[in-house]
Amino acid sequence: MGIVENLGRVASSYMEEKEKLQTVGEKRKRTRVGHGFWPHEILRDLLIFAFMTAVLLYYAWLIPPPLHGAADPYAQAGFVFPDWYVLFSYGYLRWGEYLPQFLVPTGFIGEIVGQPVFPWNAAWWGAALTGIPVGILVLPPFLGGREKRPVEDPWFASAGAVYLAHIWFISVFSINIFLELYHKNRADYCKLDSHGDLLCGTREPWVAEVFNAIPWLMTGVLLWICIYFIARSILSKAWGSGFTPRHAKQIIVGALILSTAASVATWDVYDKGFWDAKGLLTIKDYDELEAMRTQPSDVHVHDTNEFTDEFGWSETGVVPTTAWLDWGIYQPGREVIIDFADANGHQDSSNGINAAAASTVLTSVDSWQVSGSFVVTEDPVNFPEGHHETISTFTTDIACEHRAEERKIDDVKTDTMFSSTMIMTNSDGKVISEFSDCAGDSVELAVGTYQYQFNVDITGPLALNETMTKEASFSIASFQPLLVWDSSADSSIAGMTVNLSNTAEMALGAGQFNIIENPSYHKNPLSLDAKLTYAMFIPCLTFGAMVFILLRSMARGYEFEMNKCYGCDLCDDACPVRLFNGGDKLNIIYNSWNNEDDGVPLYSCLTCTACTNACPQLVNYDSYVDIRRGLIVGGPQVEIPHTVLQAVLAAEAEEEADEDFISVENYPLSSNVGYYPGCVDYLDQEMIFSHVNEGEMNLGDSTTAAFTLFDEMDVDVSYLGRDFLKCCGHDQKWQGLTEVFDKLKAYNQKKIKQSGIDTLVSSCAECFRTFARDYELEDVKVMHTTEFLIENGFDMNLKANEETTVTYHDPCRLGRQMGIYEEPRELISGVENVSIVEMEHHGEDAMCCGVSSMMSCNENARALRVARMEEIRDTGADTMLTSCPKCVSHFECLKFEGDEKYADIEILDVVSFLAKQVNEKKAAIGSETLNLVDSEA
Amino acid sequence: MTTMFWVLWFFIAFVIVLIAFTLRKENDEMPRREILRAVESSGKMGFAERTFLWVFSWLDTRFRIQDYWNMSKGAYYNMHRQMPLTHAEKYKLRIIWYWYPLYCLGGISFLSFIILVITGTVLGIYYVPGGEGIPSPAYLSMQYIMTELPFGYIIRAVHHWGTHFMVASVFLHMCRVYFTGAYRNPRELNWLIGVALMALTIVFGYSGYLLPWDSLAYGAAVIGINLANSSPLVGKYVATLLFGGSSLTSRTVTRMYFIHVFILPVIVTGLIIVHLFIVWVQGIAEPH
Repeated sequence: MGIVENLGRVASSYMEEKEKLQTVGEKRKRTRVGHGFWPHEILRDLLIFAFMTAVLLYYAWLIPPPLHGAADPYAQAGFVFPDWYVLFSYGYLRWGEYLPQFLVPTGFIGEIVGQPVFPWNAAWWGAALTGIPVGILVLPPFLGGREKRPVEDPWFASAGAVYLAHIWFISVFSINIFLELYHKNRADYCKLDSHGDLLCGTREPWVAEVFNAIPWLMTGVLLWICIYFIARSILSKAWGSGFTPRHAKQIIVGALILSTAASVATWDVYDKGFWDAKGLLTIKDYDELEAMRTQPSDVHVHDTNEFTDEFGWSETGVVPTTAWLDWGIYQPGREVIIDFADANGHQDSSNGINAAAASTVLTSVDSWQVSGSFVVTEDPVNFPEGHHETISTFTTDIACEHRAEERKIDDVKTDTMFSSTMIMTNSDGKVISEFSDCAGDSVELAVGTYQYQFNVDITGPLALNETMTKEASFSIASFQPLLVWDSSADSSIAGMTVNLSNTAEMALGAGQFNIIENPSYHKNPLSLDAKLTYAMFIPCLTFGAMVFILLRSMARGYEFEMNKCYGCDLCDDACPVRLFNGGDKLNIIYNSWNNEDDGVPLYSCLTCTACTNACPQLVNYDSYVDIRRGLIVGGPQVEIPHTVLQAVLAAEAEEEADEDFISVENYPLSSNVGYYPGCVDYLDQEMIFSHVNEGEMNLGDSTTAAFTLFDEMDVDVSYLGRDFLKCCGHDQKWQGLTEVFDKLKAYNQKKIKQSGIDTLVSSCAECFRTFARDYELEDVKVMHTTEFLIENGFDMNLKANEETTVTYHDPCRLGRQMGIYEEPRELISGVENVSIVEMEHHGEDAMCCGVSSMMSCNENARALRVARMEEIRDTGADTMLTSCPKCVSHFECLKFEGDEKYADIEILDVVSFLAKQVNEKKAAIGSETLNLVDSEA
Repeated sequence: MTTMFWVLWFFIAFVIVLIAFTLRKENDEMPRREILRAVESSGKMGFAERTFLWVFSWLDTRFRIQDYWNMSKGAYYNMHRQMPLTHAEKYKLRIIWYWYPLYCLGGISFLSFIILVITGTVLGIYYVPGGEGIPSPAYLSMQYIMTELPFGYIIRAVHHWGTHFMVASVFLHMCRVYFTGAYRNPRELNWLIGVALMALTIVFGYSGYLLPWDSLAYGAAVIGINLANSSPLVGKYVATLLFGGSSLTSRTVTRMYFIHVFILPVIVTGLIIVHLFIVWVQGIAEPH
């Protein structure tokens, strides 16, 4: 059989298997309830397309397509401006020029294709780097983990934002470079040509300045974000709950001030192209630039500029030095322009001021010694010592020379017959500079007096030749800052260099000269490329961080939820806490959304869902409280009454406690229906403990009761005791102890799955809600006992011994949160002789028992229970049934606390109540049988 | 010359007669008129129905299209049943406007592509892909299109701006797909096809950029060929493949023309069909 037939067989057997699994009902049918593809979507698309076509035609009419001069291979390379969508590639190409370039041997493959060595050059860097953003697009589907929308998983969206920002920055900054390169009329690039003529033009467009600022601005924002988050995490760890939103706001402001200050202070670092970081690889001739001594001077111009008329003539035909300085890049390593050409005439070697020099001609003499001193001065008016870092010392060149009339004597160079030493010492006698054979030196000297000694000795044939002329000379020059007449000097000399030796000019200027700060101090001539390199990385992170923060703040689900609020106040009226907590109306949801005091303080909220029940927008306030409590570090900031019980339950969560629980293998499991009792036994003990054994409450009975009913119905249910499963974690979750809850949940989920249970039944409303809503038990059906009984056709023909009136209290967790109202009532009313009456608040509007998650046990809660008791009284019922052990215990608590007034009201779990009837019935049958036996006897 | 035409016409006539004889047998066997009469008497038939029936039966007697008809009918109903519901249908929405612009980007790129194909076809009639000389025939033909050809200027303008629209909408379409997480299972393959289409769109743009063969095109070609040449080992082969030599020659513009009007359109059209078909089969993803 051929491969094709084989594959065909595989495909058809796959289809057969699939057909078997698919039922006919699963095949989808088209329904026409919503707006259909035809005509609605077609119409809409046509409209959008027509609009886009119109825009396209408008552009075509408005902006002509370009057609430049014909291609000419022999012409000078012109201005290439790629289309915007390949600018990013151009940016990489540009960057590639500054990345390390190397040669890669290609081995035998290279021999075959004729390229034994592959040059990894700028072009290949550009091509390879272009491949990265394009190639990376293949990855997203395979990275996995992204099963939620961007708001819920901000990492993915932030990665995308960084990517887009990167492409944007590299595209825009490669345009910036085009401006730099091809806008020939840019003033920054004023240059002297070889004839000493000046070539320059107009100023940089302001848009470029704005774009120039964006990366540093973004860096400041990144700094702001980083400072804020670091400070916040440190402080919230250190202070715990003492750290409030007010502190956070203060940190935001503080961080803003800090980051703004830092950005402003470091602006020059960026603007001048990261000189000290060698321009992020762009400055290759760093040392040469640092040593540059070119100095501006007054020049004749042949081009028009702001100092000339339209024909390129100025009044004097000269553009002054100051104007030059606004443009040029000179002495990049100096903060103040130094007069290296001695245009000012600072150096006076005859008087030993800033200079020294001597020369001699030797014929019959074999040696020359000269020594003396010179002074390095400073102008006391214009540059007092220490005013500028660069002029507290003065660059001083020391040079000397010696030579003979003939280059060679007997084929031996006469140079080699000289020997000389130059020693310079300061006024303390310390040697500042010393060299021999006129090697020359350049030193930085502070103000003061310096001695020099220059010795020349002539040896060999040259010394013997007493007719040949020999010369020796030396010079020392100390360079002062350049002085320029300032604007208050006479207009004919303003802006020009000062000539100190011209007494007429000095009199005219009247001392109105000044030094000039170097406008291009430490400026990287390739600063735009340095900025491109920078912009590709850091500012992109800022954009990503901003998106991340935005999404995170949106992801705090309650904001999404709560901005649905109309501000209608209905929640206030429904809230049981507000009922006994006076004060003005607060509007719980509205205020919480505004991040003002959450209408009900965080820990007094009972999470009873009464507000959501009243809310026309169904804002889920409970989930807000849940999230907010989870954010509080260090657990609930409120007193919890039953501390021992809480500690016991929390200790269960730890992994060390795992051993105390029986493993699945060793646990008797007879059925795939499991019954979880909850913490009823613990509650009983706690009740006895905390109320000094006053109580008669027996919640543990509800477990026995449930099994009485199961047995009676002949349903096989496995008991999943508390020696098998840990606490469900309901209280820990709602106290904000997320970590503890997660541990309990993880353990229980794992164990429930291992046990093979497919239906999990619990009599506790809290356990029921937690398993159903907060656990991920996909294959397990979670049911409340009342629900389970109804579903299994509970019908026992029960009959109470005497007429009883009962009322039913809907627990929040079972009623509003899980929507189970009817099942318990159906069970109760199924018992003969029992009539059920409703309290004023029942069903959806039922009042809370006053305490949830072991918190908020206080006067308000007490008042709430008293009110509930009064409602029971009003109905005339003598028994109140409910279906949550917590509710039972809280109502019992009211009795134990000594309020004898309500001691006669019996409070029972529905399950216990039913079991009681069953037991009574059994007893009756038993006694009847007994009677029967008796009578027979 | 005229003899050649006569030979050609005779050949065509011969082929027609041959086909007619081949099919004649079928014609004899099929009681076409009886079937037609039966169908016509089964219900009221208008002119359109009558004409369709005649053509349908005529074709059927010659090509036995009944087999294909049954097959396509089955496929049609099968597909119709399995076709995904639109968003509005699925969620029973009676409003379909507000979130839509972002979901139209793919459609807008397709629209741009169609506009580009139409205008490009017109331009192709007048464009001369020759790079010899300064100015080259390519450049001269561009000048002709821009200055003399009636509507030539506006057609080129639409073609030019259509490119920008297409690239922009492809980019934005990709962003939309990324940020709504629409590339996830089961749409991985379509994402990959989309990435390929985006890369090809850029190549389309670049090759079209070179065709006027003006100074800008030449500069761009220099950069492009440098990039191609710089590839390790295969550099000069890549350059020869794409640019017709390891340095720019008069062949470059011809090569780019062929890539631009033949190779890329074939690949891109094919991929677009697959891309749209997959969207049709899988439905549009929604953010969860």
